[in-house]
Amino acid sequence: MDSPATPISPTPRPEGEREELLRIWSTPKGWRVVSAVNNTVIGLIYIGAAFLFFILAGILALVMRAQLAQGGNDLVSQELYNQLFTVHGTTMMFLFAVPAMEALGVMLLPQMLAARDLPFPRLSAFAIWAYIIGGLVFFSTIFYDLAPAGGWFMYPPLTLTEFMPGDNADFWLLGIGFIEISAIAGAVEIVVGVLKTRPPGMTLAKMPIFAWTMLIFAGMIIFAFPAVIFATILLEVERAFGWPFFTAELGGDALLWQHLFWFFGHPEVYIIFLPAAGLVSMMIPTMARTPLVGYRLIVVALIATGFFSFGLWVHHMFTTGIPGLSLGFFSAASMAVAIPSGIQVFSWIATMAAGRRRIRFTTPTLFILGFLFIFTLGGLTGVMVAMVPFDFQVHDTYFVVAHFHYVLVGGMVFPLFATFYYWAPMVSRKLLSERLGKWAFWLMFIGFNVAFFPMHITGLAGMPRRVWTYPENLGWDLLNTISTVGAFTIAAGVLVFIIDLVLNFRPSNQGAGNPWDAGTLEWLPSDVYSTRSIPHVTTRDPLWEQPNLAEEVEAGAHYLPGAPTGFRETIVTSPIEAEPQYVLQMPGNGWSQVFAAVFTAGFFLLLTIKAVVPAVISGVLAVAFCMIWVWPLDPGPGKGKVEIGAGIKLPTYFSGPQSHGWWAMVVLMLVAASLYLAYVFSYLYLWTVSPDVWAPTNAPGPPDLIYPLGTGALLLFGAGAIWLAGRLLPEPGERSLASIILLIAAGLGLVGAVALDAWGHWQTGLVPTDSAYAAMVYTATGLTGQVAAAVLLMVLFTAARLVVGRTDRERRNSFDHTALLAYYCAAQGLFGLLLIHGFPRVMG
Amino acid sequence: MTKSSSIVGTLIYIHFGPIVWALHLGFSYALHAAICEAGERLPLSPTALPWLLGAGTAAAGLAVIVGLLFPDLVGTPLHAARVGQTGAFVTSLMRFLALLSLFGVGYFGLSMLMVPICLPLR
Repeated sequence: MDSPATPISPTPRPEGEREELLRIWSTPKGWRVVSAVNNTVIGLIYIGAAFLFFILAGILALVMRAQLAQGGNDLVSQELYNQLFTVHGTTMMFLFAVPAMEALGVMLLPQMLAARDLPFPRLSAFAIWAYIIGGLVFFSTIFYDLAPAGGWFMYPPLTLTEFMPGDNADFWLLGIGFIEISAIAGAVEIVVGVLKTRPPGMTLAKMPIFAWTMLIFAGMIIFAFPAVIFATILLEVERAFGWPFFTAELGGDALLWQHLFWFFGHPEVYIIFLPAAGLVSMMIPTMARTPLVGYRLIVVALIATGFFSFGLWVHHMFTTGIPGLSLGFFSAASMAVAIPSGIQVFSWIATMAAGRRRIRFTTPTLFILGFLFIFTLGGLTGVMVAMVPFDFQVHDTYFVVAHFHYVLVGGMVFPLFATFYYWAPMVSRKLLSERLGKWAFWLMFIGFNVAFFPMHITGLAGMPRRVWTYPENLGWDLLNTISTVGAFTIAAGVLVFIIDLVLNFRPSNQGAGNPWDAGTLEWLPSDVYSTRSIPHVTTRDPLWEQPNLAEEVEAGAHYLPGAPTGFRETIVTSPIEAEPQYVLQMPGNGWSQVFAAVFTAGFFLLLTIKAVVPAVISGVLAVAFCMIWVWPLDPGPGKGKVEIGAGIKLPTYFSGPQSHGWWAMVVLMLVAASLYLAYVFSYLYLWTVSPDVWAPTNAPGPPDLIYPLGTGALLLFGAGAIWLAGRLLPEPGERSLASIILLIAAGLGLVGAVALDAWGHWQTGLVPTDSAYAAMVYTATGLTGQVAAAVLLMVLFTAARLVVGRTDRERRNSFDHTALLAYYCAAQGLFGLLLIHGFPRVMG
Repeated sequence: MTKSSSIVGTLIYIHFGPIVWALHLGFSYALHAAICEAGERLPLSPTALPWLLGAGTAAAGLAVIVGLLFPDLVGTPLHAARVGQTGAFVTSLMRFLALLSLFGVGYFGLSMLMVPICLPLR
């Protein structure tokens, strides 16, 4: 560890600094709070919404347990039961678990990094409102018989229109697909936030473990979620337009869905678990009153778990007829991933043992110990189901239900409740009650084990999952009755927690100080603007190892005096060594992101009920509000440099590869590339598994070479034109007609390229509804087309800024981001040409 | 850290072992699936599969071992952060992850010694 820091030589604090900060960072009152963007406000709303979905999905679970308490029960109908388990699983996974972790990231990260906020506060707010609106509409379908009934993984062919007519499945496909987009928006925010808004001195080696876990969490979302988004696009297109991706007789394959779904679905388990593990790694040292043992090994374990989790998806498909050798591969990988998880467990135990004083048995500690017990049991049964012969025996039985509840509830819900008790004083002027907390813990811990441990036995006794009832003479009744008693005991524990919240949770910008005597920055004295000055960090546990840091920060003895630009701002630092780079001006409260979220949700939900015209209007309005939102976000270098303390002067504007906006675009392009990679996999997969109908013997061949060559030329023209437009950007205060024309030509060139490619295929007589091959060909065009359409919108936006003089050679972030996406579009289009036109020719 | 350290290079450097592991998994699974499912349309027969998979496993294992023993060979061309306290931290992450990946590649590769090629378990 470095030696403790001395205070930064303080820049004189401006007169009335605190009042100015309070004014700039003020939260709107009453119903206008919806327009707030500050992380401590929207983070709380986000967590509250996620918790609400936890309660709602939990109530559905209680109804299911009541139904299963006795054999032959008819409390609910079979159809309603199918909807119940589908909405329960979907809500828990998509509307509770991932959003809860993202919400904690939004709320805790800026405090842990002593940033005034994450770099894109309106993006966070957009993601949150989109999620809340979409989630509530999705959940409400259970009340009017419109809920999906295909299980949380919605396997075709069951979910094809032929077997599941009506809009129920569409609510899942469009609703969940839309909410995943919201999750991706949050992931962009977190990646850029962790890498670019750390306090000076907080190098990669000194980052809090939770920041590491959120970075890995967001990275996993970027690579995993596109697979399921792509799958939902394919299934919705098949249901709506009859493109046969999953219909076997036309060259499709239902297992394609399983591959795509589980390529997302397995990492999803770790997407949920890793941040929870990060939270545990933050709480245990405080409770044990000693630094974390094996920090480096824990980071290794987190990265390894995240990375290796992408190589396990086939273990959900062991019984689908996959060659034995592949089963061997994935069985080995599934067992190997237990190693990094084990590293973490041993590090936590070692930390508890390392403290010179006895560990404090507070409510958070109890929930952590409960987590260790339950999660370890879930991990052990995970190794059991990783063995192929055992998995064959218990596949689709209650053993698997027990296993994944031990992993998910143990691995995420218990740490989450520990988090509620531990971090509540950061945002509440009162601590939650230790007495009620212990009641909540014991009820939940005992209830959980009573509910789920017997399911191992029920499963081994042969009870299949997803059955709405069962005959009374199979010996399952008593075990099911016990499970039901356990489920209601858990509910009692959650109820005690809610009572505790009502009695003791009192939101406050100042919090309740540092009641646990923790060592990390979120416990610095703070207000609505976060900390008065941004600290210089030299250790992993700054409040323990840098004496007087809290007093210095509160006295304004560290970085960023006042609000030198007159707006909300924070310091952007370099991603490896956290050296100050520039002062980021951030937008304040506003309505545009709220309306953008409302109309984006409207677009997807209206489309679900086939109200096409209102959906289109809603989509146009969503785009319009996005434009209004981003119009003022490229302020330019007009404010010059400002002093942030210690004699350091930083610019207030940055463009190019070091800027936060550039990073966000790169992350977005990674998402787009992941989506396209899922497409390439699907194309080659269908070719591999359906040799007799890929392509069908009477299918038209690829178009004449003139079409791909023309398409390629247009793509290159688009990329070239935007490059040239960048060279011709005007000096500040001037206009450049050539630049504007080239920009628009670039956008039109890219859109034209996509249109020409589609026209070429259409000319040959290839119809997307005829075969999976044809559908895949047009899907490539569609995927590049949606990027080209986005480029066209951005091009028009940037051209408008050029016209009014808001973009030029120095004030150029809007242009740079548009150019980045245009280059990506051209590259993806060219790759698609090689695949779609080259592969059939090479393979004959 | 030198001024030219790149965060992208540093991230790739840290992930060197897992990237090799992923390439090995992708190569092995894709090749195996393609030859077993669509062998008649490819110029390769299933009898070549053990040799190809064995060669892939050996190459992946060797690459990871080289990275473990000579991190400079990986880090220098990537402009990864490799000096000072942060550099030491980054290199230790890379080595630990490479070690885990080596285990993963070996464990994965062992399957082909134990399970008949192309046997569908339906």
